[in-house]
Amino acid sequence: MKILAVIMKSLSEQSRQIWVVILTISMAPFFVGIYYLMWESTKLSMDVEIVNLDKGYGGFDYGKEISQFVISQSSDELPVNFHLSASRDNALNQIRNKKSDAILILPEDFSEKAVMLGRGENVQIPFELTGDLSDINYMLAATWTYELIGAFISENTGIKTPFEFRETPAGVSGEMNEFDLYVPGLLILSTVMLMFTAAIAFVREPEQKTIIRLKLSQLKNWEFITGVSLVQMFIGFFSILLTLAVAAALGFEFRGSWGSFLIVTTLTCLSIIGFSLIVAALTRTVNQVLVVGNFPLFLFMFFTGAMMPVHGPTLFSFASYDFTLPGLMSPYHAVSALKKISIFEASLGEIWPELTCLAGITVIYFLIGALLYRRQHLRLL
Amino acid sequence: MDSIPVIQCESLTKSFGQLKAVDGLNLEIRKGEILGFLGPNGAGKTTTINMICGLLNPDSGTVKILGKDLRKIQELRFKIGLCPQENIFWPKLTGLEQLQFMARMYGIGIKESRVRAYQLLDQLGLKGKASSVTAKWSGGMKRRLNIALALIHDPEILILDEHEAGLDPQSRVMVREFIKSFVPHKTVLLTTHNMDEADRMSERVAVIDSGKIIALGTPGELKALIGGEQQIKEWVVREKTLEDVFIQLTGKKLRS
Repeated sequence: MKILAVIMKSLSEQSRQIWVVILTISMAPFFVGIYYLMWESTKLSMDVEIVNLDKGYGGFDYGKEISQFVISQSSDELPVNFHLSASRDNALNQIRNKKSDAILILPEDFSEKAVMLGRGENVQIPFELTGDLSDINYMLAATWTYELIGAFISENTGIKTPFEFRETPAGVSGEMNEFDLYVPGLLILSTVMLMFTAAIAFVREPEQKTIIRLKLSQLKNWEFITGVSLVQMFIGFFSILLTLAVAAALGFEFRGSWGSFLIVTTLTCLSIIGFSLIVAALTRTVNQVLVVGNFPLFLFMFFTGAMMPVHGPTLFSFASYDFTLPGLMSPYHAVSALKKISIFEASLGEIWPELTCLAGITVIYFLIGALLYRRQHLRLL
Repeated sequence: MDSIPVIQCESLTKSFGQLKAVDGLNLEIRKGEILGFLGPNGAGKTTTINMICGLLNPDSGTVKILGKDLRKIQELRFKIGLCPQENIFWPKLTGLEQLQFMARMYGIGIKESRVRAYQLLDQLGLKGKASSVTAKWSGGMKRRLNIALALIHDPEILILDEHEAGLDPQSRVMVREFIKSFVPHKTVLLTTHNMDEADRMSERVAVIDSGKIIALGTPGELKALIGGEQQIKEWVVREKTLEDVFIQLTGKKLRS
């Protein structure tokens, strides 16, 4: 049971350089906190100015009524708030100063046209919507305004639209917020950070030359790599659990299958440890790991969907799954799988393309890493 | 003493680029013998040792351990205990943990590992610090731990590469007595720049320079090669030392 001895030794060493471990496992929970604060401070909220030019007609003042109606709809549940503006110029100033996202202008003959419409005459009411068309908030505000005006007209004229849209959430997406959508990527980020502790654990033996003692002993290469990897897996799981605990404390609720979650995170940890073997093979000292390791770390953080959505050029497709350029990095598939699990409650059978890619890349990383590490640091006669 | 060579180097050659570190070296070390392996810096001592241990591949020639080719039977290296020139250990582990770990790496059971570790720590005066992290140990203690790590699997052959460097006189005496206690059970190959140590410890001495053995014999035989006595002043005559032999054989030119 030489592996057990390697595990115990590696655990002792890790526990006596606890700061490296703490820095590694705290990175992803730290980002969870940052994302939560970002989400809290940038919750979707739009403002629409109403410019009521309606002069009324035959005792009816529908302009005033519709203004009051949409203003009364403003609540915590709606991401849009309506305000009355005295003039078009005032409203435009609000847009220019980024205090509002859209302007709804009710025409002078709004009541007259509404009355005619009520009589069954074939007229159209020319609402005007204006704002910064390049701003996504304008588009969302305009859509909400269209929706509310339609509801008011329909209620007051009795005219129903010939169609009805029913919105049904895919999976549990309707119960999730933007923060919830970021958490699966951040969980994978917590395993990416493992690259440093694992690469350091592998490179420390050649750096302090203790690899000579191991080479002269009866320890086999695979036993050494397995022993160190198992300790790193333990750190990886601890890091994932810590990230999950922090996210849960901030309101995240994992809704998918824990079994699938475990398989995806296990494979991801393994693939990162495999990659760290490559890093360790290309370096000779801990300092070099810290310098060289930054490059793949940034790639893994920013180009795999772990921290922000990404979709590169498709290299090939299978089973309706696009294998893209970022897909050469294992966390890309892990993030995709974990999002499907936690948002769409996907079963293992539904994420098999991601699992296949993840497992394949893990094997490739490990093969390349083990061969390079053996060639560079473990070769004997 | 058994005359079967425990270590046998035949026409051993190793080059690093243009530099021929070891050049057709032939050497035999008999069972139970302590052989001093002397040479100036860069003479090829450590390269030879690394080839004997199986850490370096010779360009040509063979290393035989107990009559068998090391390249063909890798397991032969388990019969060797190496105390390298540098202190090589895991600074974050305690002395006891290091020795137990290395014992386990040689396939020794948990209980036996603990017994051997404590025994060696005791023999080398390290028992009191067994449970402290070795990074905080003194240089001399680390050096003794280096020797203990070489012996943890009870090897038949012990190779000591400048093992006395950094040891205080008390530790040196203790370590010498400890190593001499192995004879005739173990074969010892030691390199040193301390000629007094080589003289006291070695039954035979091999002098290597430019990758070749240039002299081999007992300390007495080597001293006889250059004459037994040296007249220093009219009234002072002293016996030639191994250092005199060494300087005469390898010259006074400084080496890199």
